[in-house]
Amino acid sequence: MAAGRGCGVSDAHRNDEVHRLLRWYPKGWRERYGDELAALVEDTTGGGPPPPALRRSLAWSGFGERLRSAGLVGEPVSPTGMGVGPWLVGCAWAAFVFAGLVFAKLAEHWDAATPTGSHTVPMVSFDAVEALAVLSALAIVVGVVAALPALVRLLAAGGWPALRTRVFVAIGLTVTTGLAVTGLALWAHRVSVHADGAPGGYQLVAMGVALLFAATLAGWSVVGVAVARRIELSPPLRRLVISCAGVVTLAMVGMTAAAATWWGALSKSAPWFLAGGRPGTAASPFDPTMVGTAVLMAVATLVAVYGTVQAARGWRAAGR
Amino acid sequence: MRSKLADVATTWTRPNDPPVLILTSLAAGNKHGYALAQDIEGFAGVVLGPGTLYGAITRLEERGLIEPVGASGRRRPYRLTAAGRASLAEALEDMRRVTDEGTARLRTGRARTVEPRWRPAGGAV
Repeated sequence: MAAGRGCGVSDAHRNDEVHRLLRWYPKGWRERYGDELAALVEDTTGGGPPPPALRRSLAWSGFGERLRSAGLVGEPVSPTGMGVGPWLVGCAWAAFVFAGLVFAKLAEHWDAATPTGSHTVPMVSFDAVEALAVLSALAIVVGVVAALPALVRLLAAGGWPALRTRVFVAIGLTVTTGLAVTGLALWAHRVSVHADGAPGGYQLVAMGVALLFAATLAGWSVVGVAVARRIELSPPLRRLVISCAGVVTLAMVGMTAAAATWWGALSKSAPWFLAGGRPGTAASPFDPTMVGTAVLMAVATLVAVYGTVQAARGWRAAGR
Repeated sequence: MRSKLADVATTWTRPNDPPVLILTSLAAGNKHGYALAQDIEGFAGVVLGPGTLYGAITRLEERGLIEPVGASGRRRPYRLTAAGRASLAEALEDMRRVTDEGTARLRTGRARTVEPRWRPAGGAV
């Protein structure tokens, strides 16, 4: 059945090449299907080196299997487990909090800088953001408290070794990000005092810190997904956690809409405020920081919606 | 709770979907990965890459529609299970209904009177 060998490539080298490609797949999948897929690749290529299209295809399929094994796509991993949906909502909320902090800083003293007659819409929308932020934080606290006993049970039952590496990586990223943010804050103070506009080097470092922050969020997301896949919740607690995820998601949708409304109102009545200019001067309302913040809010909200849908699907698949 | 079979039947609607092709190929006998790919290319003219093929094999085995034959090995064959056979029959029946309807509409230029294939849960239409 196998096609002919050849092409002057040694068996050992060929095997290495194929097994390198299989690293795209999760370990559990490789243990079950790795040898069979390697044999199929060898048969398909006639023993020659895998062509670029085949490499891309395997990389894509392997990445898909990783997402699937993490429970991020496809059918729920376990009908009785919590599933990763609520945790995705939690990760999205963490990213949203970061965007919210930037938004709060940008909006500082907006009411003092805008004409008195055009306060109503931005004030209502800003108050809505604040109220929904409190609501979402409460829902997160309730969800975490509900899931905590299951996490303690998991650790008591010897679940720590499976989480250890991920937790240490996440802690390492958190510490590195904390140090980087501190360094950047000190530098920012000097830049604001001595320079007219941030130098290119500063902006590059700031971008690096933002990437580190994203990596930290990703690190804790990996921990969360690993925990979520392992803990089991009773049906009432599971329903409570999923409900909390739904509340958080709705709050995020509301906050994004309210923040966009505030932005729109300020763009109309006081664009100079958004650009950091003097009152009455012409300015573009599309301040890069505000645009970035709005994009982050929107992306986080979409992830939360996806997480909630996944959670609801898991609930339905379990036949509750 | 929906059965795995119902999930499959409402998901596979195209004859070129890899799971349908694999089940169809295995309906004629047990095959390993490379033999499956060759057979499918032969009867359907569809080239399934190794990643796509094994992705579909994974899903089918998870759903209990196919199973490996014999001990583990590099070129282990797969076979249809009873559930896989029923699932394939159901999927083919769905396709046949569409084919028949399309053929009739092409011939007569209007829709036939047909029983609804799927009903909402609870029986109310």
